[in-house]
Amino acid sequence: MIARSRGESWRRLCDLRVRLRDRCAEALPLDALGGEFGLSGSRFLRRFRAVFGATPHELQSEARMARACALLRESTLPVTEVCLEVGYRSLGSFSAAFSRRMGCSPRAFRARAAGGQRPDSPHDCFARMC
Amino acid sequence: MRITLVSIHVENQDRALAFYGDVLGFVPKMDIPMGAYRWLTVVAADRPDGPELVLEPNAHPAARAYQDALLRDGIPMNSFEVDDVDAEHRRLRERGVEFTRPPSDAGPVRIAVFADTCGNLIQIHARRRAG
Repeated sequence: MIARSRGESWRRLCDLRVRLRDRCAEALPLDALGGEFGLSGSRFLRRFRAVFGATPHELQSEARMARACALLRESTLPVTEVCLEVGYRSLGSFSAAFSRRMGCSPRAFRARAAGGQRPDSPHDCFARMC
Repeated sequence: MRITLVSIHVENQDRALAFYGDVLGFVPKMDIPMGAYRWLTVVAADRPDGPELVLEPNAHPAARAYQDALLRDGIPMNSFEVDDVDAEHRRLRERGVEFTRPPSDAGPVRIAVFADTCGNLIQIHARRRAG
């Protein structure tokens, strides 16, 4: 369904970005998203990047990694289940993507977090100044 | 008591610095590592001792909810003063910036609104010349 007005198109673009972040495990037809906005693939990607600074695929990957970090740090889920939980179907591709972004394997990340190092923190900078 | 810091929540500090620095033309002032994040501020190029804009991570869920709702409803998070809204609009459009409101008059000011690639809308304004 193609958005009818400029306002509706804007809201749907915003909703898509929230969905990529908050429901990051969902498989989305990332290559076909432009159709929903009545735009060709390349024009859609240009518009999305102009608004959000990254492609839908990049934002989804970032959200998946952030969620994986939280699960590795705060849960006891086995790495295989963390992988499935954030939307990857193969452990190999999850581990490769994780290592590329975080500089260590999911297992090493968990061990480091358990060792008291906090490689990632949910606190804002302002909160840290207190 | 003085106002020297103004903060804006951003999705990703690297992207925020690229946009606020390279595209808008602000100058980095403080960049201090803080765990996974940085204490990151920029200032206007012609006001190095003026107020600093803190590019604050939106890591808290409430910050994201606040940003999401304003963005979706088209409400700017802040407004920066410029000399000429139309000239800035042309300059930023050429850099690929997406405007949700083209230059238009609003009472005593002329304004335009664009997306900052960090989850916010930003307004620019200039006082309208008399006559």
